[in-house]
Amino acid sequence: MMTEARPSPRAAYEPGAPTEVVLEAAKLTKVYRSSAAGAAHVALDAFDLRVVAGEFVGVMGPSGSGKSTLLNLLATIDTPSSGAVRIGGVDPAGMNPTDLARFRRHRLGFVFQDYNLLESLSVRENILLPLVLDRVPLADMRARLADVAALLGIEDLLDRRTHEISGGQQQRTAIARALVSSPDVILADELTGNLDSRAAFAVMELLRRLNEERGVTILMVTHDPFAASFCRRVVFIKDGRPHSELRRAGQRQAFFQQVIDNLSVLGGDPRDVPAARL
Amino acid sequence: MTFRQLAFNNVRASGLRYAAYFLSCVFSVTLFFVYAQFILHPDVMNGDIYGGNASRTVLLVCEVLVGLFAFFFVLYSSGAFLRARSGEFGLLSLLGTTGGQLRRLIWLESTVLSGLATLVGIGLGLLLSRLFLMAIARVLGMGAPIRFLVVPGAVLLTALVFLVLFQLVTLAATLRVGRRSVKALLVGARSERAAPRASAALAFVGAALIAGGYVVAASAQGSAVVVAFLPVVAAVVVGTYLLLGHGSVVFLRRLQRRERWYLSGPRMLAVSQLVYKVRDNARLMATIASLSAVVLAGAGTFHIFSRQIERSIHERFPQALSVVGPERGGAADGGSVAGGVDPDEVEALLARHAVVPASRAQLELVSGTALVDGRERHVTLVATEAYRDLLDRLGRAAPASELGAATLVLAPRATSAANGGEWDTDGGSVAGRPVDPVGTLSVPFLALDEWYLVDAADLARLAPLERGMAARELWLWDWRRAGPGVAGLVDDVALLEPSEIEGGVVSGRELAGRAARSTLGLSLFVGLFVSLLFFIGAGSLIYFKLFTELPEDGRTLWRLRRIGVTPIETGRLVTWQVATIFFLPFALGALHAAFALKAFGNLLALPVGGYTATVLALFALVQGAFYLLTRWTYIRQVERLAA
Repeated sequence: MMTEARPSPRAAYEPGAPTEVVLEAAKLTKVYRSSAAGAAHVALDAFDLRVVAGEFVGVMGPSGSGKSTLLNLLATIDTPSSGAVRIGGVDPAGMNPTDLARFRRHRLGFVFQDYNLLESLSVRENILLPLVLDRVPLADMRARLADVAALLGIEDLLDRRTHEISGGQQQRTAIARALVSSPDVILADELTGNLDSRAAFAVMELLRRLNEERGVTILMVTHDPFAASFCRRVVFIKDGRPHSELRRAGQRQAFFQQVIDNLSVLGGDPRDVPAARL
Repeated sequence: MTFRQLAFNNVRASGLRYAAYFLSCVFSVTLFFVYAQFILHPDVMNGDIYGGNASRTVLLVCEVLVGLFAFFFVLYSSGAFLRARSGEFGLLSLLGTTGGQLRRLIWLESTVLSGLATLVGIGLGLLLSRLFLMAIARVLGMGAPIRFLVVPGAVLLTALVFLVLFQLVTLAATLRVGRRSVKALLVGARSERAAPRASAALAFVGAALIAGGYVVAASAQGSAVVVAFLPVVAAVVVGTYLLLGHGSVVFLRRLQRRERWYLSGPRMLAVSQLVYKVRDNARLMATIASLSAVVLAGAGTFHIFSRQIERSIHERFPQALSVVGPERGGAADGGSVAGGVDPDEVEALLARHAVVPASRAQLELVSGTALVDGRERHVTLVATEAYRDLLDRLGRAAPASELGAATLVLAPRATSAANGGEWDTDGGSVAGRPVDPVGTLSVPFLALDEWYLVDAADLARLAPLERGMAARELWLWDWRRAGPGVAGLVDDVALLEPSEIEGGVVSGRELAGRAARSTLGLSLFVGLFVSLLFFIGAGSLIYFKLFTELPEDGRTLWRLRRIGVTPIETGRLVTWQVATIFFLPFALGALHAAFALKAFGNLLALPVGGYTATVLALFALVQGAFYLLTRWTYIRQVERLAA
């Protein structure tokens, strides 16, 4: 099984240039039924979202707003009740588990709050995992590893075990793994949740640079306005529906304030918002 | 809610987590009880076992081993169980539960659990003994070697032993938990695992010890085998621990360095996970390897013994059945020396059981007392040509060397030296050549006689019988394969034997085989039972050990699935792990056993390769079935966790 050839690194994203939709949610609905009484809970209600190549989109919302459901559906880990997900124009619905897993591996990159690294593998092996599973030639793997390791500044950590490095370093390893197979889009789930403010800043700066300098498309779900302030566009979700949207025009600090203001309009629990980290 | 209720609720609420621990306890009790039930059984205590008291001592030692095995197994399970609940204890401490209360909680819980486990285990044990006896009766193709009954001593012993054992384990557990800090308890469940370390030097020492043991075992001859036995066993056991603990990790690390191979496909996952698996399970695997070796060697020894007996029966008896007919015309002095059996009675039985012999034969012989080269002997005289013809017909070659010739002086019994009289040398004489019938044609009735081949004419010349000599006929029947009626026929033919004390008038392969089977039956049963028990024990140990690691493996699989590793790839990962833990110790144990049996063969001056292969293949089959079952359930469980 070989990966499809895709240009890497991607050409820098230029606003106004003709754009390609890489990730799309069309009338995405997820209804959870509790089996006992048949009571239904609509977690996501005909949600529409389009992410074009080179975007850095944040999805924010209070607890229970449906943002995790949205991410799971986009990540093809969960299946929608109705509506469709299209990744690079392909709807993965109806794929068998094996094809779906391969599709996920090749088209999506994942970054999780808990890093999701295997402690039995070294940092190098963790990063290479998607390529190794596809039996990419050794020389090719070395080149791509060198590329992403340099990009993320973890060249010196490659031979360490995951429990020997800090949380920030683990998260950078996870980002390297997400990048190494040149996916269409990187899906990040609360990736700063376990990091202290310094490490969180470094990781978010890194994502911003990847996006701006390499044109990596990123969709990030978070409830942290600080992390969201690094995005170019933030979509607010409430009760399973799109609520509002913000685009960053100028300084990140100003955008951060906008995000906080919007959150209070959204009426989420103010305790969701951590102390300002500017 | 009282404190006792808290303990009970704990057991009831997190049922699944307790289930694994509970089942391990039940399993240990069952194992111990079935065994106790067996060795304390009156039929075994008083029955006729091969080896008698020595065998019974071995069985007792085995029971102690089973007890120890159970102790360590329960201790291990309890440790794993408490580790998994570390967070829960931490929370309770955080909420102000004192160390003493926590200890009391654990004590109450495990007393309830172990009491139940003892009851269920004994019940299950009774059921299993019944099933086992039924199965073994079928396998042996005869009535159950021992009756099924509830042995009160076994119930009592099991209850007592496990009462003490569970209390000891609980004590160890409470000490362990009570001593740890709240933070250690809270973190305990998720503490990072350090990468396994292994010493190449120790791995080499282990391999060298095993190799040395093998060389000695394979080359020692005769009594040297006995002298070398203990040192070799010690060296191999120590070597096994080192090889599995260090060698396996060193080997896997080597593999990891071969990048072109390692960094290609799911094997990277499999190998890197295996490093942890083999490190965590090294002691278990070494124990099982040694255990398998003992059981396989024991089973092999028994198999060799029984095959040897079978083979010697085949060598001694070319005939399926034979009877010695009555003296023709009676002894000259009128008194019948011993009865005989009319061949027609055998023919009637053959017809009744619808057994059609492939061949029938008859041999004239004369037996009695004679003076052979001046010394008095019991002799049997057979015509040379008739003897050769008969052996030919039965597919046997005549004995090669017939040393020299002897002159037999046939004398009247009344004056034999045994009676203190003088020999009357006027009785006449014939020339004969001594022949050893054992190994070509065994007739127990005449087994104490010396056999001589004489000329047919000379035998005929004895027709008007000399005193002290009697003419008889030996009738033989043969067939290649035992048909359906043969078992019944043999039972009936055995009844034809005129007198139990004289014995041997009725004989043959079938009768000798029947006698051997009935003596070997109980011993065979004991052997089968002990090896089966150990094998089930070892297999289950692996089974439960794997299942204590299930949550962790489930988490790993879940992580892999999230980033798009396919079910096929994770399936292969699990298969590799389960297969290694199952077959690595077994393969090593089998290798040990093969060399042990080779040494045994050297001691008996026997080639044992074929027997060894048979036994190993049989046990490989059992182990393979166990593996498939485990893998199947394990993958199902772990998939459910990963979903």
